[in-house]
Amino acid sequence: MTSSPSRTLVVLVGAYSLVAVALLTGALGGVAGPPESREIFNSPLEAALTGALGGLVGYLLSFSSAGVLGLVYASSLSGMSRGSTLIDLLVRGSLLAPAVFGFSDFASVCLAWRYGYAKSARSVLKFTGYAVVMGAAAALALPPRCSTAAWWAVRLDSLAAGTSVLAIPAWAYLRSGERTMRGTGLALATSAAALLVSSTSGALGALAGAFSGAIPWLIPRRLFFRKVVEIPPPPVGPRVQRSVADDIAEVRRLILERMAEGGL
Amino acid sequence: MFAPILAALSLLLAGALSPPAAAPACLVVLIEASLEARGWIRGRRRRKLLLRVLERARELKEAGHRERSRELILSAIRYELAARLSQPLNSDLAELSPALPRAWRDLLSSGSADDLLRAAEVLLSGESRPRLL
Repeated sequence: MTSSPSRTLVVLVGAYSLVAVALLTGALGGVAGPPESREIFNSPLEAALTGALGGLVGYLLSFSSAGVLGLVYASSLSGMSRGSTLIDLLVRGSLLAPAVFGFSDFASVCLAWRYGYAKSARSVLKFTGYAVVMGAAAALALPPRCSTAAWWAVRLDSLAAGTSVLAIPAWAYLRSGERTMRGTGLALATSAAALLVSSTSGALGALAGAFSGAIPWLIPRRLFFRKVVEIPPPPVGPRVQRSVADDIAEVRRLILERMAEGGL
Repeated sequence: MFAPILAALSLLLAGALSPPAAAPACLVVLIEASLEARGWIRGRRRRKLLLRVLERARELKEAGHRERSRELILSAIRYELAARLSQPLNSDLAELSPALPRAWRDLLSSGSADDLLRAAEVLLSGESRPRLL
């Protein structure tokens, strides 16, 4: 049975979404209760902007951590929206969307890398846009607690923040488009991202983790390219069978050329 | 040249600042290093195998089995070229041909056992003129 990348992606994202929904609804038991913040925003615009930032950070952290932080996010929000009306379901979907988009894009980049397909960084930008819109929508629907959607990342401990370097090779693939990248370039990007995350903490640490994916773009592209071992030209050409007629024609051509030049 | 040193220093510094935050990065770097080492080991193994095959092909040629010798060298060259061109190692010549330089294509299709042997030596040594063995 052959496996197609698209089918693999659908299965992976489906399984991830199910786990995330189970964590959000508390079916698997959240690792942390819902954050206590109950800020009420002065205007819907403020709420929408905060939610949009939450969506952006959530998407980037979920991508950068290979989906790990998306599940932490879902778990930390367990119990936020317990109703079963259509609105509640939509709100839950909007809350989870950035995390699922992040994992989905990560899996998509990894599969493109594995199967040698081209993957443009534009698709990441597109899904970032979707995550921002979904984050803003969730924040508008849940005004009393929307700040939690934006700043949940502050609650990340060091180990969780450190997982945001897991997808550096995927970011590097987006940057270089090379299937066989140089190990030193990848190691440098990963170490630089780890240094960035380790040297920051709290909200800054979460933001650093979210934007650690930009590090491969700060490293010269040539560092990711493997030195191509050129195939040397063969020492001899193939021996072509020649006939006497060919040889006579060649000699005749040479004599005619010389005569044309006035040498004979 | 400086990239590995810079990477090691960054990782050490990250570990000193916050060991838990640097732990996942250490794991990722370890995986990257092991993949790199695997590629290097495979390359060495491939080279040794090619040398053995060429030795055997030479023996066959000296024993008068020129056609078998030719087939053996052809198979070894095809394997090496597939590896160098990042193609599946079981690719046949028809699959490799589009990615091959014209001179190699012509040689593989109509070269004699002696030509192929010299070409395989060139492929191993990486020079356009074969070494005197």
